[in-house]
Amino acid sequence: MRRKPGTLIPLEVEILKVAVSRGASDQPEFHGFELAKLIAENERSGKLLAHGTLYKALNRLAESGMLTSDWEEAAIALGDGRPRRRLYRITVRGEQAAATAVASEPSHRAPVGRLGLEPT
Amino acid sequence: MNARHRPTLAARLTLRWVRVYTAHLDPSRRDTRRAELASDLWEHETEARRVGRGSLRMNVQIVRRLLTGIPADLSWRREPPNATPAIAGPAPAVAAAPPPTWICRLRGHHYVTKRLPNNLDEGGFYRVCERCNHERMPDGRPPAHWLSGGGSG
Repeated sequence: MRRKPGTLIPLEVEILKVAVSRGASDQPEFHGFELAKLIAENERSGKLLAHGTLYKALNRLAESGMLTSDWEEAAIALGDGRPRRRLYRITVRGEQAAATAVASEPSHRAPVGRLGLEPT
Repeated sequence: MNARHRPTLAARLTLRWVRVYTAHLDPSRRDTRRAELASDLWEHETEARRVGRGSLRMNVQIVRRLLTGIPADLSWRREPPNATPAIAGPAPAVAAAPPPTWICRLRGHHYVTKRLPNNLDEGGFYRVCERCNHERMPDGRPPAHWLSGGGSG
């Protein structure tokens, strides 16, 4: 999809919102499953994001510099007896993009019915 | 995963699928995705056990995440390595066809209507799945910018 610079899809905005709120906490980093859980809680749907959808969006946000990611220390994972986590964190650019997207949310979400188009 | 941890059937199925769609990719890209999914599945199973969720429900949840993510997995695989992300830069050179809309309908997703870029004249509006970013014209075709090298899934 071609987008104007800085344009985000709703899922990416949602991810950035979670990342911003985590960024302001004492635990600014999060991993993929944790993010899926937080989004499901926010939406009160209880449905976790699909693997493909989640990691594709995270990958895109990381490559565009809105999130940074690092693999945690192997020793930590080994000590806990689990696979290493890839930890994401919001960047300044991501915070700015989230703020812009949130500010413009009402205007870019035109109701489908108003335009005479039915949802597929 | 530790010695005591045995992945469930659904997790093993997912890991097998990850091996399939990441096969023959750039090793770094391949290994990153495989490791990230292995971690996700471990966390998912551990969380389910922690909250006392039944094995059947957990397996169903994992399989649902697997199946509904397949279109995104495939379009991610088709992206050229080190593709410049579409968010803030030029679009990838090769367009990935959008997945079928029935996937979104099954998932109960909603579409929002957006105005086409000014340089395209296809009736003015197209629809985007709020969750997956699948784009369609009102008649079901992908918008022209998918076909002109700008698709990213």
